[in-house]
Amino acid sequence: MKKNNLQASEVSKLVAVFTVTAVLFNFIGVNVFVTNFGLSTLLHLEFGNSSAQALVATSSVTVPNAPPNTPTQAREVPISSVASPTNAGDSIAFFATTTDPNGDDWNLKLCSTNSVTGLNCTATTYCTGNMATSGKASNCTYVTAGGNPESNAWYAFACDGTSCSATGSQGDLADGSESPFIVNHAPVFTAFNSPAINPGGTATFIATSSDTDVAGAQDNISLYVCSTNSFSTSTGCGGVQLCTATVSGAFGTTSCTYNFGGRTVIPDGGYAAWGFIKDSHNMPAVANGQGGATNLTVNNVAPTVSNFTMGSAITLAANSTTAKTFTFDATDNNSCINQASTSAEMTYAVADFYRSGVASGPACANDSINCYRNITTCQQSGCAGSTTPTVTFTCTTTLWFNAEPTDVGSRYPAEFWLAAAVVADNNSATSTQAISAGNVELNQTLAYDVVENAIPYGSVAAGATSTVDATTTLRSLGNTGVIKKIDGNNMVSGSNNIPVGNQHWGSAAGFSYGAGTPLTNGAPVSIATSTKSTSTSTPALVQDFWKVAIPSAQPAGAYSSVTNVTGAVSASGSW
Amino acid sequence: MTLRINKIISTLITLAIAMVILVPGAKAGFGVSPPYLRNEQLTRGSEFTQVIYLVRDNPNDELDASIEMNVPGVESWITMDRKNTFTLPIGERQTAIAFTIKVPNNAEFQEHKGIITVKTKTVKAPASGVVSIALGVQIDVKFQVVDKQIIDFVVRSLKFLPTEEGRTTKLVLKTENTGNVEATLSQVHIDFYDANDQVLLLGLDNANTLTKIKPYSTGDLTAEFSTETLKQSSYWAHIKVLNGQNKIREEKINLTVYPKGSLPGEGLKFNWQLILGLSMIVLVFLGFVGATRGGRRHR
Repeated sequence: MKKNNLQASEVSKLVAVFTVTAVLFNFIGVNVFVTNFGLSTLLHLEFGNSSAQALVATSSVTVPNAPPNTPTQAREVPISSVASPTNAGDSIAFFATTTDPNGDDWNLKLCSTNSVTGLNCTATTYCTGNMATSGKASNCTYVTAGGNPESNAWYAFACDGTSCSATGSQGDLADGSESPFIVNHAPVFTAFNSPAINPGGTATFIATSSDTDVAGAQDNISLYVCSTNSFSTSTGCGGVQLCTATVSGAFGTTSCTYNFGGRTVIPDGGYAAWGFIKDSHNMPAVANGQGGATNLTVNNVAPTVSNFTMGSAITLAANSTTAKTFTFDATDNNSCINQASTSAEMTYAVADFYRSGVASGPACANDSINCYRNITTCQQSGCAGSTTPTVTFTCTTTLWFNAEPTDVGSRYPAEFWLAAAVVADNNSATSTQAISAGNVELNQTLAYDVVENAIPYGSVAAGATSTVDATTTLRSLGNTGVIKKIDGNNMVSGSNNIPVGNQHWGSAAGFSYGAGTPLTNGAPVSIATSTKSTSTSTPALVQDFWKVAIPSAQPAGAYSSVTNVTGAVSASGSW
Repeated sequence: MTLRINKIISTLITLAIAMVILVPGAKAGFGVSPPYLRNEQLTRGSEFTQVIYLVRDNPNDELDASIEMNVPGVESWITMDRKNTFTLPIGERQTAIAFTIKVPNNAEFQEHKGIITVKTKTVKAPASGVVSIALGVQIDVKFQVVDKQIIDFVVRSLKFLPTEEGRTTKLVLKTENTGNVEATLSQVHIDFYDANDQVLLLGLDNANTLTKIKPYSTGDLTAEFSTETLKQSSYWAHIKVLNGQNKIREEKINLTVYPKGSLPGEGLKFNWQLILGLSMIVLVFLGFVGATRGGRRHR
């Protein structure tokens, strides 16, 4: 009974015995044929040309190796499907279970085709599992790569040490874990840029990319623009997300827009932004372009000047200059400070101050009377940081005493003084010239002096008349013509008087005393008119000349008096 | 003969000395601005003040100034904030004198003219033997009492107060009432444009009543605009100031609307009515408590 139950090892031993026996018979000229009849072995002996057969009941069973059965429960872990592909570079584990007819140990062989040659996949071997006892599971792991096709069929073979299962399994669990596994490929990010904008504009970030994955549907591309070079496909931008957009991404561009949070005042300069893309399956682009920075340029724009404040009516100083200040707003949508917040955006102002009716307006010819050009003594104030577009410039000019008045009674009562200004920024962009909507009156200033401190009659004998002209010179030191009015008193020395009327004045040098006009006491009398000064260095002037007659027997003495000179404004037509 | 010769010589010598003694002050410039006191639209019962400046060049000497008024019939209407004589101190280039004209309620409707003369002389004693020169100026006076109300203004400056989202916007207009009655501006209109001054966003008239300004006075008027819908941004405000139908000032000003919460709140203001009310309640309460205790003692 035992022989009828030969084990594989015993069969092997029997074969070995017969082999030795056959060798010996062959040595002596006898051919030995062994025919296997199940559990019995027939020995057929040939002796030369004759043969004899004899039935030999020996242990003569042969048990060949059988390949393992086709695996069952072949599966991917995790499931790699169209809906949930495996990103290139990620691993997939494969599991399967089978039995071996010979009870041999076996292992999993994962092939790309349903074919093995010997113990090897005929095509691509994805992975080879661990040796497992029959009936137990074997598994192996495959690391996907960008070179994988999007869809990858697989066949799970079971192999023992001698052979593999006749066919491979593509999985049988019907839960998505069957063949094929799907590899998702990284999108390719080739360019990232953003056209320059003006302050208040909307920036458009443009990413150029492609994604060839089409399984199920063409993959989408999502663009994220971040304020820093930090991004995660799961949590997004590490810094501030400036914008994001998603488009279907075969080959083309993805763009999103950013408006600086609605800010309309933005310093000019470059603003770094980093672009990141990922596909529908949260797979980021490879390094080619991913995280690429673009320098969004906010253009420089020119400032604008407005809102002049001219102050109240101007009173000039006599024979001198008077500081006049006026203010205006300068507005720059690049804000009042540069991008680094280190210096002013608007760097200087140039202003003009002029009479409204002067020829050529703010382009008038510079002079002290009507036109003060190229005023650069301007200070700015009021900048509160990069969100403030407007500063106030305060400009100061010095007006000469002969600047043309515009008030009632002047030559130009319908006119006034205006200011114009241009402001430049730190990129040398200048505003258009603005002219003040408001204006200011320049008042008349009646001012003069008399060059001589006294009327120098000199020494005159009693009963005589002075022969030398005593000159008095009135100079116009304001911005009007001046009427010279005079009045006086008797000349006095102790108790002695020389009548006021003994002083005569004439308008021409060398006038005859008798032809002169006596000085009077009482209401001032007009004797001369000086025009308005047109020069600041040589003021307009008018002279008159004096002589005095000393009465006969006039006691000797030092005679004194005061002659009052009263200035009045002459008619403006005579200025 | 000898005596006469001596006399002549004596006189000649004396006056010759006088020639070389100079009186200080005359050479320094002197003047007035404006050289007039003028108003041609005064109404009965009105009051008008004008400041006139005496100006000096090289004010190195102290001068006595005196004012003489010659405005026939109405001198009593004119007063000034200085006495008739006063001193012009050393170093003072401008000396202000405020002249006020008070028109009686029964004044005739007519024009008045005259002059005011300001004379100066040195404070120092006059030198002997010198015909010195003293400087003065004439101020022309002209005013007219009219039977007519005149409403006119000059807007001197405009300025926005800071504002933020959700708040009204206030525009301060420094305004001079150049008319002859107490009045105020008719309307302030603003068209709000976007930051690029391209798109009209909002057009508003002032939502509040503007306060009145006395004639010939200057005051700050605050015009309020309902800009609660304006978002944080920069805007261009095109402003028109109207007196009746007349546009008396047009200006363009940039307005920044800050984010909500950027500006300090209104805060707690001193409310004397509230404090008075609370004080009254406390006093009544203390009185009640006192009366209750007093009643218990009596019992």
